[in-house]
Amino acid sequence: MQLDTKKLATATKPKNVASALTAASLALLGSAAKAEGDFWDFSKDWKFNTGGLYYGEQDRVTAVEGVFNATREASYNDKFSFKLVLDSLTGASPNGAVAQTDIQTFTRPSGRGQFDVAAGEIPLDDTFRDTRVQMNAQWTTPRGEDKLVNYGLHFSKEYDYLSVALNGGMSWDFYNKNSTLSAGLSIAMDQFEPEGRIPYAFAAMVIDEGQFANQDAYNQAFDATRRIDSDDKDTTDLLLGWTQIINRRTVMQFNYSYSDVSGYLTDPFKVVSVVDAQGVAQEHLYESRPDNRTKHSFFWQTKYHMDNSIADLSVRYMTDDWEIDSVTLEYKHHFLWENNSYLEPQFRWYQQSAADFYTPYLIEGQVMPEFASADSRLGEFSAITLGLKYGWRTQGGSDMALRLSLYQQTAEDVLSSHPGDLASLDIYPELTAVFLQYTYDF
Amino acid sequence: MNRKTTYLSLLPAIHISSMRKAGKCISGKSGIRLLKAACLAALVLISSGCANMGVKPWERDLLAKSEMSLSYPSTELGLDDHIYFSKEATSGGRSFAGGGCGCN
Repeated sequence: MQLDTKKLATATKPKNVASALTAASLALLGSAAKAEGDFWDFSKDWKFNTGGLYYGEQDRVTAVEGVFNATREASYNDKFSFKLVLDSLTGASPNGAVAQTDIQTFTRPSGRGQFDVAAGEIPLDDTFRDTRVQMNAQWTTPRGEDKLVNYGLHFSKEYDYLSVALNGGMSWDFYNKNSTLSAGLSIAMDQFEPEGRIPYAFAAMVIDEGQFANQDAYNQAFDATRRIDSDDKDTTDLLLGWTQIINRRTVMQFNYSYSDVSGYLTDPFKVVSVVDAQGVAQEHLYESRPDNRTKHSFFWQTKYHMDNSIADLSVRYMTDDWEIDSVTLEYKHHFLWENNSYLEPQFRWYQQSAADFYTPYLIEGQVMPEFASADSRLGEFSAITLGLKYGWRTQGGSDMALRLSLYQQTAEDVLSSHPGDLASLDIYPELTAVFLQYTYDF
Repeated sequence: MNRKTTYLSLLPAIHISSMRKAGKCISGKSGIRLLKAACLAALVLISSGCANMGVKPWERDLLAKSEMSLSYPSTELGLDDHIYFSKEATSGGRSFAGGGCGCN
């Protein structure tokens, strides 16, 4: 909400108290009339939010992301926004295979070429690179005195992945706009056509170790592990929210969200190693996950304005039918300084339990499970993010901020013991990452 | 394999699988009716309690600040969502969780 400063200044020297109160109330409610004019006149009522992010993991993925968001508020609560996101990723990512005491060789996901992993190292596929473009359009418009409706479109495209989504929602204000009930629905359709095509569930990775008579024989063996079609997934999200102003300093929100995802939920680049009784890998099978996942999420956030700072606390609890439960706790403290600048320390703690089909490896001779994945993102771990942000307002009224954060993920062992050499190896990947973010709003 | 971590014991009894198990004891339509009635009662209690909270329009000076918006700062929240979506098994909560990219 933009306050009209000229009207507020005029209201400081009123002819009578009633007119001053009326002007102040209108300004605070945001009812001040917006400038009329051409929708595409960027000098009027357009607001721009831009940002850049560098994300770097130690010895692994590096990502650079840019965001440009333009919002036009045609009148109070009637606004249109357009967002463009570009990101580029490169580096190495764990492929799910287990570390070994000897050097290991893997086939790249494309089937063209191989890579070696040193003894004792967690296998990382270093061919991970992608560029993505994302576009969003969102329109919010009032319906009567106390209702708002919003509609949105989402489009995201990367080399091997396409995502299109539609969303719509409504919110109702109650009790002099101190309470707001909101409901939203989003439907997303994603299509996946990975490099090297989709492997069959539990197909063994074909590794050329000189056993093939020629390249055609290898290609034939590789192709036999691959499907010829692409695959897709559909996501339906339902969000119900209640926002409550508690008093002059406190606002609170409670959200419940339901998410149903169905279709191809497997990661075609991940494998699960099959080890013998001595812990030696015999083969690597492409992972397999269920084709449906239902999630329930409960989110609570409170902001409290102190005399010279703002406390921002949020908690999220998520549970799903893959038996993953997670808790997220986030706290930010926004210290306001007199020279239009601020400092904001940030802390986030996250913990999740493992999916019921998660396993760091399979053991030869045991009954094959229906599903299995060694993707560490489905394992049991905790993560901590520590960040510090500094922001300032320029003389021209633009806002800038710089943030530096450190993210550390620590895995928990989901097995009570490990066979042979695996007992002495570090088989769970740790993750340390740094984010550097710059935002500019004008 | 002990899949559940100790923090779960600290949470209130809202675990969905426990609710499902409890629902089996009540069974079928009567359970759904009971759940609906409980939700309705909770909504009435919350909304009647909320009627006594809040501020007058001229008391919104602090709340009107952009920093007090729950979606502030939107660019940063969007960037964070993308990072955590690609590194963890949970997404959304504050807003929609679904889809978006092939990073997870």
